[in-house]
Amino acid sequence: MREYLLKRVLLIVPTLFLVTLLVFLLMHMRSGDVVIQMLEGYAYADTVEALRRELGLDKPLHEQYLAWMGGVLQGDLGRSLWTKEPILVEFARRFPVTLELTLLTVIISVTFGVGVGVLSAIRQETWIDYIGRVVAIMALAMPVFWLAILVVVIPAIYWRWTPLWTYVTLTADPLENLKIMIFPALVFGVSRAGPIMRIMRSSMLEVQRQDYIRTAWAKGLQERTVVFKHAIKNALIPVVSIIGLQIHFYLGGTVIIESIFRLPGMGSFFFEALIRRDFPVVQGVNLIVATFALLLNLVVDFSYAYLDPRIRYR
Amino acid sequence: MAIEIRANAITQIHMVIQNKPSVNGRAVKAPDVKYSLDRFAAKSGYRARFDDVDHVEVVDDYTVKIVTKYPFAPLLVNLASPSHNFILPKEAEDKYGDFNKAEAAIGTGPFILERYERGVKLVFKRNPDYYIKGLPYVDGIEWQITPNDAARVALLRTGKVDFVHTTGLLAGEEAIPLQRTNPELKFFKYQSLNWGMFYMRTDQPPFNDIRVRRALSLAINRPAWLETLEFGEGCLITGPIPCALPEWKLDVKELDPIKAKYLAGFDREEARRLLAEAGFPKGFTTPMYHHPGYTTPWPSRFELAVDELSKVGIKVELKPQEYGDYISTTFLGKFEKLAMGPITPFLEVDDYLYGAFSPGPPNNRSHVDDAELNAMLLAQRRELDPEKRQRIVYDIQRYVADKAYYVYIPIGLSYHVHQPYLKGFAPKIGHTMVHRVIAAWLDK
Repeated sequence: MREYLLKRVLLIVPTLFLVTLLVFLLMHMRSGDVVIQMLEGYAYADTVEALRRELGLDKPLHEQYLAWMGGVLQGDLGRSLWTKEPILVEFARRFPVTLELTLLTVIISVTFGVGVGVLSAIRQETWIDYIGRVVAIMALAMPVFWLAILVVVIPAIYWRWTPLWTYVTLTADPLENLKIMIFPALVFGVSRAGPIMRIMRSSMLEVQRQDYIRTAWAKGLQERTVVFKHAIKNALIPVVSIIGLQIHFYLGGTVIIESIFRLPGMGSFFFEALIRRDFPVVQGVNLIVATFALLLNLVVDFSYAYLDPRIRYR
Repeated sequence: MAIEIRANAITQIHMVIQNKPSVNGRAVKAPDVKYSLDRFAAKSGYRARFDDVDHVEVVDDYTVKIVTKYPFAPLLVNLASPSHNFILPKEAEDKYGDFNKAEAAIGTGPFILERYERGVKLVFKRNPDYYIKGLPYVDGIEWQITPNDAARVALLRTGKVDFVHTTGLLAGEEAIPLQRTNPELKFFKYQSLNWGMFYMRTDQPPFNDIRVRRALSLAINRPAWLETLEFGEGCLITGPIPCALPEWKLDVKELDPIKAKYLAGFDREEARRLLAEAGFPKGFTTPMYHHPGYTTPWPSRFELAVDELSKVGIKVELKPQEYGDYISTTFLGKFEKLAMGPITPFLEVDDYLYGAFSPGPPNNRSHVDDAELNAMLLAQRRELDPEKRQRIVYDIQRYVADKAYYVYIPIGLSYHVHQPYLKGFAPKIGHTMVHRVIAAWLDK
């Protein structure tokens, strides 16, 4: 068990190193010049050469990378080329928004996905199952941006109401914050619940046919006990895998959701930096998000050990 | 702040600061104007507009003199353009390094930036020391940042905002359905300065061949475009000068019909014949660079272009570029063969002519270099008599009509939409928001 967990933790280091290298190279391989943008549109300097020198972009790529990595190892992600603000300051302002949205989305998608999946499986081939399967297919098929726009636009046309408000932080007004966050989280959560519903249903069906479940029924246990005490825990293992695999979708999808619901999170920060070729911001945000995703995956790996005793005793 | 501009000699302009405005708790004086104009000439992306300015002199506390190398007709409009010639306080640049930080937004305008919540909103309060006494009427403006088009319109529909868009505009595609569902809103439509076109590398094959460029122009069914994408209303021929500048635009009916055909005509047969003559009997394939993220109906325009050009044998391979890439390459004329998109709208006719056709400025996206045309472009710049200048501008339009250096597409009307209780909201061509709301008030 300890060896299993240690291996997972150690794998994070080379993964993060590769992420930093890849993101750095990809950003510098893309066409589009931050210096031209800053100079032509916003008069940051007198000449291209002067600005390139000022930003340190005249140095060879490996020097730029090593300088940035040197800062990262000392806890300094650098400063935005445009605003000159430390990335961590802006990150601290925006990350709680994305984190809250992601966590709410995970809670909603897991609750909805597992609930409908279990219900579909234990009522197989009934109208409940049919509805559950249709809902799952719809959730899988509907692009999240489309669903989000429908949620914003349709009630505005027919009922003169739309779930858009001006963002307030969780600490400033928790209830108002929840009112603002719940609709984007619902839209995103329902959209991401599709694969969980499908996997949960098929996993539950498989578990229900196992000998130990048959034994449980034979002992005369109630359905609630059979399902909740014996079946769900084992059926959850593939679902947990899916949640682990979906974590980058949860984080990446916030770019669109935040834009439509006017949330000042990491998504819009990252997207703006990408357009403006703000290298340090893109690199820094990627590193933080990759770390966060890896840590969540680590939690998923730990939960395997909890759910599956074979991993614990291997 | 108000500045009286007097052109009292061929190469000298006097700017006189009126009403003694204040900024940062001090009076705005002539050295501020000199500092701002010198800075513009040195640093601005539009500094080519000051190429003919020799120097700026401080005459007294409230007067500066601008001396030009030659008579330079566009300078008056350029000086009056609030988008490009802000008078800036030097101490703000000294303190903040540049004017790109919110804290450096210090001026003499009717509103003061009170708070900027990044990604959420900008809060402006009324400037009690504004030089026009009594204005503005409203106590402040809260500018909600809403990146998504559909969300912006939803906010307007539900009455959560008083008006929408950074410049107060909606396209017909957004405004006309809104008019059906929300007739209580106030709509004002007008022809904006917006400008859209195909631009191409006229210095490289195949678009260095005038027959190919003419074929491209003849392939576009402009009335059908206007009907399909713009609800049948708008400017059919947007170039070389947009319909919103009627004092400079030469009506297509006044052009030689043989030449006008290549500016405004639609004839697929002739387009195919011209392509065959140019050595492309079976047509050819070309990339077309563009930014698909432009607001409606630009995405539809790109798709329609592919369809229309395919009907004469020009197979277009769409090359979408995200904004950062597009704005630092294609938008500056750095692309291969063909591109399409809007161009920044201007108030001065020189930008549509000298900017788009003379070698040098980045707005010359088609890489035009035509000696005869260059002389005419320079002549309209040097002619200070408005009537004589207008004649040269007309001659330029006659000259370029059949050259198809750019192929212009129809552009629809723009809509200002606001709540019925918002009074005194003034539609205005140009970029700035403040002049639209300076005399606005809420009647509720």
